[in-house]
Amino acid sequence: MLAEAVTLADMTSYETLFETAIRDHQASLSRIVATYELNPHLQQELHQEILLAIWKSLANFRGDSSLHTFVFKVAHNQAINHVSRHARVPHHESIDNPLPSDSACPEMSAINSQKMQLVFRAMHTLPVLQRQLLALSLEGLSYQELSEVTGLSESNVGVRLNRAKKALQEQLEKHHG
Amino acid sequence: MAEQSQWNNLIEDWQACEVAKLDDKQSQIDIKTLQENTRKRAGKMRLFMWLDVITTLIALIVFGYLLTTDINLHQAIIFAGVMVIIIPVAFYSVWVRRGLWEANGNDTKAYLDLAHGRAVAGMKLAQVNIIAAYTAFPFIIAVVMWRGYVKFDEVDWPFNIFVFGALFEFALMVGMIIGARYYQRKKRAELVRLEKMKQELD
Repeated sequence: MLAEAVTLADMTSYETLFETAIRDHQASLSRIVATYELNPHLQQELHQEILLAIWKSLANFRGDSSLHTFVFKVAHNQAINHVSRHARVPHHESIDNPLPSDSACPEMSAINSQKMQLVFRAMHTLPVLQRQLLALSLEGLSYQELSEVTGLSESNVGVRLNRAKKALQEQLEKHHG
Repeated sequence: MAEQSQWNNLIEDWQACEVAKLDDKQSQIDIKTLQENTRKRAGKMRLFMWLDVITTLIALIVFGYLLTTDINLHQAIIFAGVMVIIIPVAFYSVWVRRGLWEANGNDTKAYLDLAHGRAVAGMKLAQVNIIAAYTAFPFIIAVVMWRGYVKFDEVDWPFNIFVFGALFEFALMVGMIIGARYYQRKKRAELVRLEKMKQELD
């Protein structure tokens, strides 16, 4: 009886932790999904996969890192998994290719700002790990947190992030002609 | 300086950006569905693990039974031959997946290594299944046809149980090989992408 009560209490706190994690990162998770996947059907699939991965992984959350960093780690790993599995779907194009026009990306209408639609499309032309660094940095993660999520050293993160920013800038400039 | 200010503006715009459809969905998180999905996935994993173990055990029991009772020579040969293939394949499939069940809460680098390991294991398993199919089924077909040949005068040709049995085994072999090759292709494509991502990180 006591064991049952403890289990129920644990379960309730687990659900609360999960709900907090999702509520606090709701918008961020949507942006992560859009960073890795443009196809609306696959976006829904990836979104569900991320929620499921967070639900399962929270059992391993020991508070060594912040919940913030933990959620981003799991979400990005799941997104990488998604990208590697959907091999037939082109996930990034050559950086020299022009950005697709608005009419070629109707699914982008889910994003509420035209400027941001352009940014997301530009990001999709970059290699996956540059996208990851950019997305995490734009979410406001520090170099230390980026290092925790990616497993790279802080100095390496700095170099790679600068490279990614330049690549993004080039893509945006190309689009503006 | 101008670049930094541009970047800061982008951060502000980014954090204010909403992806409408997904946000709508997120507002209705259904924990019961998540629990159900987790339970189903875990159940599936357990089922496959148990299938591996149970298949091997059944094969062992049947083989043991056949060795201690009055069986015909052909059955004994088929079971002995298949056992020689099933048992190593079952052990190999467990051995090759060792250490690949960890949760995905590690950093990207560690996760890429894990995903890479899983893809390699998947390809190896598919290859082993192809080899097993190419070995086991021709062997079974040969023994069945041999048995049919021994009873040549007693059965109608070509419409008899031995021919049908051999055709059935052949169809199984083709199905298994096509399935394993498809899985292997999928895993190879996954591996190529993972290796590219690993190179990006190196």
